[in-house]
Amino acid sequence: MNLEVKGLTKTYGDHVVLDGFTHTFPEGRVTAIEGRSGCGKTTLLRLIAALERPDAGTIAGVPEGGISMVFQEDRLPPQLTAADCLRSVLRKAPERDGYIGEALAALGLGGDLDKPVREFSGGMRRRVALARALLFPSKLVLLDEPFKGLDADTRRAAIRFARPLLAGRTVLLVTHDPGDAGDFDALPLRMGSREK
Amino acid sequence: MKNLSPKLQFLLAAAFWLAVWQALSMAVGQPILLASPAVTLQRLWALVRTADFWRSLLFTLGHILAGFALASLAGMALAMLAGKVALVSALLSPLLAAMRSVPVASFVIAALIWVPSRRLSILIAFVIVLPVIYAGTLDGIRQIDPKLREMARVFRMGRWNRFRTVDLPAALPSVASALSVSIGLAWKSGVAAEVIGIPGGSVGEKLYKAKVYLATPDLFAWTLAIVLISAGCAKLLKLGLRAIGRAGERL
Repeated sequence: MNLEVKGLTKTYGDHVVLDGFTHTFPEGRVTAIEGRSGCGKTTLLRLIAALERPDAGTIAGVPEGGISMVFQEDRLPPQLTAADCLRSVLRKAPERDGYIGEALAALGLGGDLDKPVREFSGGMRRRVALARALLFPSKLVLLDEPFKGLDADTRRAAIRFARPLLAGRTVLLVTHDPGDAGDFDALPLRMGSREK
Repeated sequence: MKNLSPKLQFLLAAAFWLAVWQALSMAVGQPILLASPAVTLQRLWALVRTADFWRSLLFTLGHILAGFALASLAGMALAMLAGKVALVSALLSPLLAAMRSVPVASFVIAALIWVPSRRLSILIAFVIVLPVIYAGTLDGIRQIDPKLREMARVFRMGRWNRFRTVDLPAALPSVASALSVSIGLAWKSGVAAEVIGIPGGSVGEKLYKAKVYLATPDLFAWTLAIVLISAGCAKLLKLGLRAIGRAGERL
């Protein structure tokens, strides 16, 4: 089912972040959302994830069973190891333990499985947050600048890792890098902003 | 001193004060006015070989720990409720502030009208500990990162999973600090209540009798016993909290 957003409006005080935003995100495709800072990209993801309520408008087609998300911040429990950060959201043990190690190794974190993430660099934490979102079994994936803070090599590795895991899932990829759309064969969406 | 471990520094400082105590008692020369460490230990040794000593200690220990445990549970539950419902927080705020500033003796005298003296130390430990645990837990709840809570919501983490990985590690330091402070307070207030209420077969009764008969070595010996058992409780609590903290570190 497509994800359909109709007439979505959200204001914070006097600032209108989204003003009647309407769009259909096709099922099973990656949509790369671009736009200048403050145009409502993150707000759109937060509304779809039901972390906030819209002032007006509707969202239809959010699949049952949870959403995967890479937030603007990494949002990893700092005391947990990289592997435990993933385990904490992957409920079924047989499904998870086999590929957690493989996934983190593919992202260049194979040697740091048992370190608490508070000891990680920003780029390392970003990769753990990405792995968490990609391994979580959901049909809808919301990625808010998932490659932020990664150097060219780790970014390439992360994209290589992400591509097969995103296949067939509905993905909203917020990015400031025009190259991302091409890497994921994504449909481009440019968002604007208006203020009252 | 800089090169010594903190434990050794503490032991050396304790030895220094013991020496001061011994010197003072020798200078005074009358155990009825100031019992020396040696006399105190001698008396304590004599006491520990009586069944009555252990009966009294167990009586007081049971009552104080019961008051402490009940207050801890109630304080945590109320703080969790107050963290969710602003009205509860607003209602409890002046009540608990008053509970913190009312003297223990006032509570004891008022409580004696309502509660049999045998139960007094439970109630007093409860009213003294409750506001401390409540404040510590509320502070702990405020340390929970709302962004991690959102993450837990999005990824549909179960309640227990979320508690272990998000809530507990953030809230535990404040709660643990409140519990550590409270266990000492429970002992001080509970024994004070027993000295005023004089329930038969309690440590408080023994202290009261020591005062009446001017048995200073008894007073010192019982006080030393209270200090040791209170420190033992604090140590056990610390170990328990450390184990809980470690449980939150790993899944």
